[in-house]
Amino acid sequence: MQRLLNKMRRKPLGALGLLIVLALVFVAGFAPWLAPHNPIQPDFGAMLAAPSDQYLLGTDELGRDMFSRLIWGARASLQAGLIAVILAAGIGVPIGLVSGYFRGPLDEYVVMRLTDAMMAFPVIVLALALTAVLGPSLYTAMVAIGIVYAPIFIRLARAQTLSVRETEYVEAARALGNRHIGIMIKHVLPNIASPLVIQMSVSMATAILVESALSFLGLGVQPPTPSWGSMLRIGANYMQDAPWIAFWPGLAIFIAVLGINLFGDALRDVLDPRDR
Amino acid sequence: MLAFFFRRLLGTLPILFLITLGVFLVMQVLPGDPALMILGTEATPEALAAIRERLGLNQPLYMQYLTWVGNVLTGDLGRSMVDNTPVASAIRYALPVTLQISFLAILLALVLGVPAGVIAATRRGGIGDTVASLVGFSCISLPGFWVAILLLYLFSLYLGWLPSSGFVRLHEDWVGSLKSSIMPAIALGLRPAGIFMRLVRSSMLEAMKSDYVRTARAKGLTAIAVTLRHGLRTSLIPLVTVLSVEFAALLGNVVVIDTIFGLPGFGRLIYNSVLRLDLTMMQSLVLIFAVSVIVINLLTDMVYFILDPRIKER
Repeated sequence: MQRLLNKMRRKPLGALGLLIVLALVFVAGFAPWLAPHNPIQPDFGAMLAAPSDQYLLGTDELGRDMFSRLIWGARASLQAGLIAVILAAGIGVPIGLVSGYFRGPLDEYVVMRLTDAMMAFPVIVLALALTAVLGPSLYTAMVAIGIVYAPIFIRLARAQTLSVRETEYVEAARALGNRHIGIMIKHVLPNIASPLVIQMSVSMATAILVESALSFLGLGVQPPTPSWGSMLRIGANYMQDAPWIAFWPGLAIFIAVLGINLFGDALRDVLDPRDR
Repeated sequence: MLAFFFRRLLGTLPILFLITLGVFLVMQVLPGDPALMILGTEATPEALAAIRERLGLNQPLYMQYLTWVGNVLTGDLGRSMVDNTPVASAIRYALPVTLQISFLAILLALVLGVPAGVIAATRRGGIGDTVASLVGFSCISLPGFWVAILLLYLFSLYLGWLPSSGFVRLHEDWVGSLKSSIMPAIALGLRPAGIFMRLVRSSMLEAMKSDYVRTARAKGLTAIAVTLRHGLRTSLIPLVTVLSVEFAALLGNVVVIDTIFGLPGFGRLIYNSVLRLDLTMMQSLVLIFAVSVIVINLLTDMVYFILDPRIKER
């Protein structure tokens, strides 16, 4: 604990990141209790109202409270980021681990070439195409981002496994007659976990950006559910009359992504002994 | 050099095959019947059958795939299913827009990011370094579409200096062209700028610890000469790698930026084709996005080769 505190003092940005991440989780978790208004309840008497005592950050085109919608929006973003990354790692890590452990032609010619091909598609373009197939929703956006990010985890898990499989402890485990699956789970996985965790935090930050971009294009979270990306989409149409609609959700995305990025960077310092 | 190039080119063939196959299969599972989409629901069965015949939709899948690849190879990208314009001419119209904006964005990112990285590296650990890191992370974390909206608000609505939408082509009026592409380029370029900055900083810090930098210092070279000639140079190879990755990501972000600034580029084409389920258009565009990325990677390999000839041994 003392060491952690010392570290935080030397790394003010990491501490800031941790603080933002904690705040984000808190807001997303307690959204129903924190939001002063119902986020999808229109107030037709107060459409496009400027910030006031009743509506702290103003209202949108249907008179819905921006502040409450922002709080609920944290849920959509955090959920999208988390599930997309868990999906990506869930697909990618087992494939990369097994592929790197056994190697052979299947690894070289199928898995590697497939990831090459998938990584040639820009993330948003592939997500766009998948959205066209599955129909627009938050669920689709999460699945699309998860699939698009899977090759990154395949590559990383494979590369790490390649270096770990040659180590003495893995050889020893093999010599003792352990089964491959047991060696992979007990000996390889724990030793490749750090870079994977770091990659997860980095990917989560960009996943939130991509989800908000898809929602901004109208291909992610559907109305009336509040999300930062779709709030910005509305805001872009009312810039002249009500610029606050576009300002706050963008700021929220920025702070959330910044926090996760800073946190991820601090995590790298703690977990990756090479850079210490 | 040529042999290396051709070996690399050959290596991309299986990837290209997988890409075309992937694009083709995704289009097959799309909901909706193209024949119905073209003629509308009131078409007679005979008319539907005729158009299926014309589009080759009644042929077995592998034949459809081969026909499509064959056509693409001969430069025939088909016609839009919605308005029947040739896909190739739509792409020719959009290409210069996207190229101009993305090159400007990358240029901007390099001009801002590389010097910032050098400065951050030379002030390691101080308050200047922390501030530079925060700025770098902020650039990486800023949603491009929000930056775009803020820029629009400030420069178009409030100050009235720049046009809020539309694109002026370079050969028509180069000042106007620059004016119409500067805001999109900033919105696209901030993220790569932040990434370049962080990369240059960390690889320079690495280089400054090395023996050859110590030797150079001992030789009595000035601090600036050491920093630039020995420190910055080593960060070139990772910079080229990241440059190619970021260029690919940037191509994707064009979708959002085109929508906001009303640019007639690739992004708008693909976004419209998704909304209207214009299969032939989507198919060709997704393919072109992927092929551009492959070409960029190929060019990157060439640049590695020029920067560091040892690479050919691998």
